[in-house]
Amino acid sequence: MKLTFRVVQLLLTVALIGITGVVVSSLQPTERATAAQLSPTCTANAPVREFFVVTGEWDTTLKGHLKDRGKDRQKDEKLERYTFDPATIIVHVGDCVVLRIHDLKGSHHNVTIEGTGIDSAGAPIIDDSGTAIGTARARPNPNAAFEGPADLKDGEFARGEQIELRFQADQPGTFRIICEVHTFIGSNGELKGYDDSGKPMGGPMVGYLVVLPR
Amino acid sequence: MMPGHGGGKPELQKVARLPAFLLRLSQFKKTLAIGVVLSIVMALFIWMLQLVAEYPGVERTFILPSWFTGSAESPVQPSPQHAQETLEKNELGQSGGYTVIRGTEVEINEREYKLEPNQIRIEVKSLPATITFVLHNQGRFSHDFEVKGHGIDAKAPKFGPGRTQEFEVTFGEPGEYEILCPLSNHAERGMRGTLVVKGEHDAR
Repeated sequence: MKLTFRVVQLLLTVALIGITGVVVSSLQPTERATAAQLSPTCTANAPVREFFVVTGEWDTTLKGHLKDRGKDRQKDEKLERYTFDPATIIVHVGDCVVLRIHDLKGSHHNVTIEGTGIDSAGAPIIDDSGTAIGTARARPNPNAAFEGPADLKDGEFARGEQIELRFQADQPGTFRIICEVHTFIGSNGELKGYDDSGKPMGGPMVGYLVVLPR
Repeated sequence: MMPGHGGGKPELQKVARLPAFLLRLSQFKKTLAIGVVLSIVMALFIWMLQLVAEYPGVERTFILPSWFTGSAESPVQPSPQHAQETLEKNELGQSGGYTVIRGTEVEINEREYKLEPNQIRIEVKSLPATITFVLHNQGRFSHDFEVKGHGIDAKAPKFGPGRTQEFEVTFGEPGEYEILCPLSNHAERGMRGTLVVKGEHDAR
């Protein structure tokens, strides 16, 4: 009799825990499907935060054989690493973020912001005063006569070109800004400087968008 | 019946370490109290997981299921023309490394840097035929989809991670077409494949 009562008590407790868990998880907002995205358009009254970013490059010529992140590199070889400068963009939730990214070092780049749906494909190419003079779409490389590939693909821009990325930072978080041309991305999202065949990519070329809560 | 008082054995020795106010409670209330505490701990844990799920840019060592984060539940936006069409039920099969589809709809998953499936054979009743590509972006970055060959060069709009879109292409000729993600170097890293379109009475 006493045992039966204990069993009933135990079952009741487990049921209580279960019900509480379900209630708490259903209290969470359900609008998560779109939460991973940043909005590609800004609302009219959002404060505009404009950042001028330049693509840079660190390099060094090796004085002797060494291991670069575990990979053998020989004397007189050049190690290169492309960068975004500034590499960290700090904004608040609700800001309209404008990134003017100028290709100074490197024959061509693209830019994609992880987990946000924001990237350089179709972004306007702007002149010094901010006027659109082109679009980062598949097209012949304007510098093909002396460097880079014959054609640029969607999202790529060449040395001398400046693109504008505009979006609303509508959720907090730290988002990686990545140039895929100079970064090898593994199957679990790991960013690498060498591809699977061991070829150096000049990267990882990565910056950070930090969106702080208001 | 009063639970917890049966026998009068020196059972108290075991619970003597509990706070005094707990000792004054009946067995039933004690169990209830423990249940409430456990529920609160569990609720806090779920709440913490939900917070973690909100930061997709942050690298995690564990993967939350899609029903939890909701990232895979993005709504499909069917085009108006598509709604009027009655789709045939797809039959799936494998043949010589190709995914064989009889019907007019094919689902493709895109991620870094793969299209799945990427060797596809579609058998339609007759040509020309409009084929609907249901594209799922299961990756971390934006992706796109392009079909090229036999005078066709159709490109879908780019779309972000976690999103799904439908893209229609009308094929007039049977034969082999190239499918790829045209963004930056995605195709050369592996987001490319072959699509064979074949009519029912076509010999090829």
